Order: sequence, then structure tokens, then C-alpha cells
Amino acid sequence: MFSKILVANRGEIACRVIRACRELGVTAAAVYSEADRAALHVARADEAYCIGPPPPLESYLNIEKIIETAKAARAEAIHPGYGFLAENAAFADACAAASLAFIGPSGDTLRLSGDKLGARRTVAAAGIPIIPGMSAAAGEIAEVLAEAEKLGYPVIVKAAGGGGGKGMRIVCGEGELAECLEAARREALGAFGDDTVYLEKYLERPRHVEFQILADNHGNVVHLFERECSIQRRHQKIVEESPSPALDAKLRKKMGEAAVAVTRAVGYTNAGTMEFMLDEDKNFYFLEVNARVQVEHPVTEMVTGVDVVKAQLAIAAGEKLPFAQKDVSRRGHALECRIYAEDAAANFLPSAGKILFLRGPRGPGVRLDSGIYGGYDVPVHYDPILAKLVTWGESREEARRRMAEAIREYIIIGIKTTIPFLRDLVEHPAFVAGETNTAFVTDHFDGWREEVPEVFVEKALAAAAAAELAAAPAKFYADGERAAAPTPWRTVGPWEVGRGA
Amino acid sequence: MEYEFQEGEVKHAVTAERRGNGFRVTVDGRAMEVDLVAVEPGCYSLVADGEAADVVVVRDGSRRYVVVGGYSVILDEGGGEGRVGAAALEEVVAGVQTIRAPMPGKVVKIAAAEGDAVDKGRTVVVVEAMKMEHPLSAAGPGVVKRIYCEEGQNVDADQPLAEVEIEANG
Repeated sequence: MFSKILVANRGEIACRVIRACRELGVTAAAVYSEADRAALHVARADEAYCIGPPPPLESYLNIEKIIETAKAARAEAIHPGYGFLAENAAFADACAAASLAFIGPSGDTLRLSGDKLGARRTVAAAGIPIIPGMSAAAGEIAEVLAEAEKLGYPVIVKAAGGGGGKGMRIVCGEGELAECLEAARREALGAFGDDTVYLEKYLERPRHVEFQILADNHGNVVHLFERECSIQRRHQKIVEESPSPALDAKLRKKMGEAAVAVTRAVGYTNAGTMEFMLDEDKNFYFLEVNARVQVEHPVTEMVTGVDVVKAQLAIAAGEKLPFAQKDVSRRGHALECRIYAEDAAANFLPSAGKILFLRGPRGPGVRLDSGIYGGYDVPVHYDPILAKLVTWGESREEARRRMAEAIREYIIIGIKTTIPFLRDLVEHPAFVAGETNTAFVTDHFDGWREEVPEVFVEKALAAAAAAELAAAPAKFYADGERAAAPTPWRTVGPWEVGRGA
Repeated sequence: MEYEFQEGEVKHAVTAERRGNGFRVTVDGRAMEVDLVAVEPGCYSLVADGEAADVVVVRDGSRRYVVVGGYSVILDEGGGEGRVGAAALEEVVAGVQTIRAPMPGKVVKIAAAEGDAVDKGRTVVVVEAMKMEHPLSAAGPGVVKRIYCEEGQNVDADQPLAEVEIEANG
């Protein structure tokens, strides 16, 4: 095992990796931008180094600076987290060139998994079903029109160079194709520096089902079962769970084997995710490889008991997987809700700013992976993810009820978060029934607004007024009844922001 | 004591007086027996007419954030501060729409110039925050009167970015 690693990330995932390091007795070195001196991951680490100004390109995406910092700190490895440089082949290569272990797959694997078309060809050649579509870049419009005709509308234009909804267009008829193709190319060029796009058949209400895999450097590959991540908005996941309500033992086994086959076909090592789409007839198709630790990895950890982040470190240190597929078992059901600094009632507008009050939920089967604290000023420069709330139960329903209760206990004041939206989501009858697909949010939550039941508004008003009065000096009553003695517990007023206690 | 709190669009009249160890409160004329005990900074144990709840009250200027039963209620003292909400972003006052930044961020694109005629929904300014772009558009057909920002400029929430004169029958 390493003696020191550098964590090239921020927020909740940096805190998660630092926790794994501390559990393993590995020294964790954090890096931070000038906007992040007060970020939680800095305080949690053993060492911390400022790597530059707030814009990501000048700090968390600055390969040269990060490598230089790791060398100066005498770290032996770099954990990239997710996002930023996690799937950047040039960064993996730069780590190798500097004799630093990159905690993730090799640069070559990252190049292959980052090229969606190349990955499609490789996976199809291994006999795994892929979504019907093109296996080479879209060319002239006449040829693309013919291909779309063959696939049948709707089709989707996708960028070969990346994901996250950028360079993606759904095309419902031939009249829209030329325009969508052009827009997707423009967006892809802007986002990934590559305007290569291709067509796929667009599945209208699929489930998103992915398999967590672990692959060591000695040829051993296991999967840690699936996660269903169908609840999304703008191609971003919001709620994930394991197991998927849609899989039975037979389909789970078949898809698990396909995930392992994909892993071997692309020569993948370390922890990764093989994503599939599952259509309404339960046919599955390979979607893409996510070559990193994923946001939703805790869901897998809760049902399998395997610590995915510690496994990543062990694999990167050259250790063999300590178990085989037959040793991996799962128990119960886990759910994860992503807490974003976003206003769900205003088209998920980001909401940066100061957290005036914070209280996290606790209790049996509740896990909170968080990167924030009360008084923290959420910066505008980075991703709006604040925390991940995970619950476990013996059954899906138990996990769901625990989630509903944990959401109720989770209080963040000062910025808008997705907490109220998630509270309504986990109580929706379709979610309760496990009827989830990628159109869930648009089907059931279009134009969502928070509705506070009248009884709570009334209580809020009563509490606000009483708190105000309680803050005023208590009077002694002359009527001989119990005088309200001014104890500090009764006279302390509403917690006021910006005025020291 | 009498209080006036505004919650969203609704105004509420609240009175409170001490009564024994607790309070007698009326909310819009309805009386309640309220017992409120501070438990830790910002947090209270509330018993109102025998119903118990865990309550958080945080005061920020004339605004109070109150959380009861998992629901968050924002109360502004006596009519509120006139903060710009999401709905107000499209508000047209005297035929003029002031396009404001909905959140702190950076202006990444100015998509129209002063004097340009624009249709309803046409993007005028794009603001980026937290890695996401947010196009801000004209509330109706009209003419861009003023652009107050530059590309690359950092802006605060509610900061005016542009003005669009909306056609009277738009």
C-alpha cells in the first residue's frame, strides 16, 4: 500500500477519498484552489496545498501544477475522484511519466473508453449488444438521413468525444435532422474540441442500469452487481439504487457477465462502471464505460459491504483482488439521493452562497457523504453537488421510508437545494412502485413547485413569533402564577446570522 | 406583540404574548397555545396545541427561515425585502423588462446588441454558474435597449444585465 497519496479533487468526493486514506493509514494530501481554502476537504486532509486561482482550468484541471505538487509532497499516487481530470488520458500518462500511480485505469484504456465510437466497435466485436446505430462518424447529410431512416425515428445524435448531455440531440423526424446534426457538432466542438458525432436509435423510456466492476492488474475481474440510475434530469442522475427493481436473478446474472466481458474487451483495470440501457421488453444494450469512481458508488458499498474506494487504492498499489465473483454477495436494498445546490422549482437553477444553518440526518441505515458545513460559502466556480444521502434497508420499501425520514431531518438553510424536490420524489406512487425510467422526471415532475401544507405554515408562523418574543427580556408576572424566570434556555432568541453569540 | 410576516405572496398577521411558561399565539386570528423551548442554537422544541415538532428558526436581516416537519418556510417581516424570485425574472414593468442575473455567476455570452429587435424567448444574455449555462431571454417581442454587462464579467444575483423594451401588445 502507498504511504501518501494526493487527492486531486474537491467537495464530497475528496472527503470520501481522504476518509479511505485515513482508514488505511495512508497520508492524504489535499489540493485546493484559492476559492477553496475554507472547503471541508482541506480541513479533513493531513496535508493541503494551494494549486491556483478559482477557475478549474487554472487549478483542478492544471495537470502540470498537480503533478508538480504531488512530486513536491512526495506522494506516491494520485486519486482523481470523479469529474475534473478523472477520465483524462493525458493526465494518466503524465502521472505515469512522473512515476506516480494514477488511481484508475491506464491512459490507453481512458482513450478507448472516452471515444464512444471506438468503445462501441470494441464492445460489439466482443458479442455484447449495443444500441442500434452507427459504428463510424456521421458524414454527409444524405448518408445520415438514410441511416436514420433505417433505424427509425426517433434517433439521437451523440458526440463521440464525451457525455454529460453536451452535443446530444433527439431527432423526431427527418425534417429536424440536418439542423440537429449541425447543433450537436457545434456543441461537441465547443465542449470536447472534437465535432465527431454519430446516430443511435433513441430509446424512449429505458431504464439506466449499470454494473460496478473491480479489475486488478493480475487479470481478475469481478462485478459488484448493479445500480439503477434511471431518475435523471438533463441526463444527470438524481436518485440511484441497488438492486434494480427491474432485474430478476437470471437477467442480473446475464448482464453481470456482459459487464465483465466488456471490462475484459476494453482491457479495463481498477474500479469502473459498465452502463447499459434496458428497454421495456427487458433487452439490454451497452451504453458506455465510466472510467472512474462514480458519484453513486455508496449504493454498491451499502449492499455488498465492499469499500470501493479502498479497493481502488489496493488495486493501484498492485494488490490482487481479495475475493472472487462467487464470494461477492449482497444484502438488502440501498438508495441514494444527490443533494445539489439547485432550485428545483426554477428549472434547477444553481444556487451558490452561504449556508446559514446545517443539520444532517442520522439513524440506522443512514449514510451521509457530504462536503459542506454550517457557515460554508458554496462557491460559484464548481459543480453544484453538495452531498449524497444514502439509506439502506432490508427491503426497498424500508430503504425508501428511511430515505423519506432522513430527507425530512436534513436541513440546509441559506441556499436552495434539491431536498424539497427529493422529498416529493421518493413519495411519488410511481417511485414507490419501482416504475422508474429515464423519462420519470419529465413525466411526473414537470413544472414541480414546493407546496407546504397549511398546518406547517401555521406552525412556522407561531414558532417565529414565539421565538421573537422569547428573545425579548422576560417579565416577571405580578399575578402570583408561576413567574417565567429568565433562564438562558428560555430567553435565547432565534439564531441570528452575522451577529456573534 | 404583533407581527406581520409575508410568506411568498401571502401576508399573515400574528400576535404573541407570554402565558405561563409558554405563549398564546394567534395566526390570522386562530389562537394556539404554544410552548417553545430552545434546545441548541437555532433549534427549538415546539409543542403547539399538544402537537410536538422540531423547529429551526434562523434570522437573516428581516428574513426568517423556519423549518417545521421537514418543510422550509421563508418569512419576511412586514412585506418582505422585494427580493427577485424566479417568477420576477420575466417581469415587465412599464413596458420594460430588466434582465437580471438569477444567481451569482459569470456572463459567458451576450447574444444581442443594443438596438436589436428580439422575439419572445430570444436569448439576450447567457450566465454561467456551477458549470452550467443559463440563457436569459426576452419576455416578449421588443427591442434591446441597454446592455449593462460584458462577456467574462462576474455578476451578483439580481444584478441588472440588460433592458428590453417590450412591445405594448406583445
